Amino acid sequence: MRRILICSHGTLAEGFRNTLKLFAGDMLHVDVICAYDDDEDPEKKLDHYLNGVNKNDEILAFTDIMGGSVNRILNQYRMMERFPEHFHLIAGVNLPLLLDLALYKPDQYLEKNDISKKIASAADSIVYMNTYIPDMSDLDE
Amino acid sequence: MAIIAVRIDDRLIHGQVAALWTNTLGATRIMVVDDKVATNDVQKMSLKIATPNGVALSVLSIDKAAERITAGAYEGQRVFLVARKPGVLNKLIDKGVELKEINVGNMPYEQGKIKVANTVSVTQEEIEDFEKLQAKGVAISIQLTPSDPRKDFMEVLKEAK
Repeated sequence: MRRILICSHGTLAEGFRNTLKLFAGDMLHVDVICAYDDDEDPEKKLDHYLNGVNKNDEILAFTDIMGGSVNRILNQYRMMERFPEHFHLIAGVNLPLLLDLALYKPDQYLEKNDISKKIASAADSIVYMNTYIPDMSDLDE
Repeated sequence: MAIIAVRIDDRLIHGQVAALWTNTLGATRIMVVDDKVATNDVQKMSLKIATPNGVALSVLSIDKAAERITAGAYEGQRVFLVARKPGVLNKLIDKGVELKEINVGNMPYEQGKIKVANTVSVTQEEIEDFEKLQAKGVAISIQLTPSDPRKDFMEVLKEAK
């Protein structure tokens, strides 16, 4: 099963979960870790999460910022091989990327190459609209 | 038949339509049919921005849409037709466009409208338009996102009335 894990400083992750539900209803399995939202140590929250994961699960883990403490903890766990085989850690979560990856090839394990491509396309989705001019030449009107 | 799906959605192309339905349906073209939008360059540009990469866009008046569809201009394509109101679809059918199934997405609440579902409210005139569509043999369903259950719209409407 594909599981989405969103980790953030504060409640951003919970907000992403809420928005994902608006888009995709209940078709996604989404867990969140909101670090420093309460007194519980984020590592404990992560340990708790890992207890509920199967070795066949695919985990797409997103963190709010690269190098942030949550991202560092997850990356250490990744290097310590504490996650299942199909674990992917992505820093800099945004909505197009979340949606794109969460819904892509839902019945298969994603390849590293799939994920790199989706990240590149999500990066292109951050746009300064003031200077953006869409190509209207192919509009059927 | 080039038209693979029809949706009534007041917001036309937005997150649910662009990111979810277009993908799920495998549409290669989104066709917005709306007499007002078809003459508004700002709205056309805004719809173009909302259209996913690699998906073609048509923004057409009812007349022009009917003319091109019945002339077979989109044969071989997978067209996802979106309109704001059921009346538009009645006019398309009257002009010879074949529509078998439509899905009701977003019709926002305004005062005086009957609330049919969370995201769908209708006026008396719109109810009549839906009844006309049904009389023409069109199957009408209500389903907000692909993961939501698909229900018979006329049944849901009957319960709401």
